[in-house]
Amino acid sequence: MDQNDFEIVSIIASRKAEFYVKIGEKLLASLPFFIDKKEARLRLRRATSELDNSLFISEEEKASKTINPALLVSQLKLNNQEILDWMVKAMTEG
Amino acid sequence: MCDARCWSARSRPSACRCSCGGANHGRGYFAPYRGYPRRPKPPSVGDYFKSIGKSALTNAVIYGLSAAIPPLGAVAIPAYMAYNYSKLGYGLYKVYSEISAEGKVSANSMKQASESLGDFVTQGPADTIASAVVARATQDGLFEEMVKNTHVDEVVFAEMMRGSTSSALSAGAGELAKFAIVKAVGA
Repeated sequence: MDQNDFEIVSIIASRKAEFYVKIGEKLLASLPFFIDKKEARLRLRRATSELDNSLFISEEEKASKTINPALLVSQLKLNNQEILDWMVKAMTEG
Repeated sequence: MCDARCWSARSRPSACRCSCGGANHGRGYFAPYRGYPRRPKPPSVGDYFKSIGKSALTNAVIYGLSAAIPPLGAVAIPAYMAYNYSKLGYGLYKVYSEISAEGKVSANSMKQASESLGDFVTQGPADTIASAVVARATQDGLFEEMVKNTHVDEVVFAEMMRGSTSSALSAGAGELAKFAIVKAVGA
């Protein structure tokens, strides 16, 4: 991997971090008292981080072969279903 | 069957007339009675999200991807990245080069990785290298400025960098090389 790869990795990681902050705010607040919040947070963080990088690159970016670091996750129009499938799988395993 | 008359009684257990035979007599309202089934064990996090928590997870994921107004830190992340991806990318590349030059990931760096990232389990060479890169980057303070500007926990950035680096390494060379980054005005 070269510097350009790591620049793109940094952008993708920042998108995942944004996604995690948003999802965490919503999900952790809704957990019932009997669920271990620390474990849920750890599991959520890991599930988000291990999402395939390509899922955080929009179809438009793939077509134009350019990545815009300033876009919000909500502006990317990502594949909701694939991300959801992964998150459910990762959160329920183990 | 026990009720408040038994649990809160002040008379002797021998005076008990219910099914516990005096075992719960006067022990207080919340005293456990061995004769009854115990309170069911709460579900594990995994079981919870498999069943009743699945809809909450689905809603949260949709919210995370939607155009809803995100929390403050989440908004600040892309704004920060628009100007600083290059600095971060260079820092990570430098760390990666150093680790590569060392020839292998040392046991010490793996220990540091596990301490900084929690209880993750290494899964393969890509994950091992990614963990080592991120552990050293954290140690070098590479994410400090980002944390300061976005108010998002450092451990979140570290974990996201680890997963993304691991995914990039697993995907193989050239996967990301085809992309160019749109430069922000003034960057």
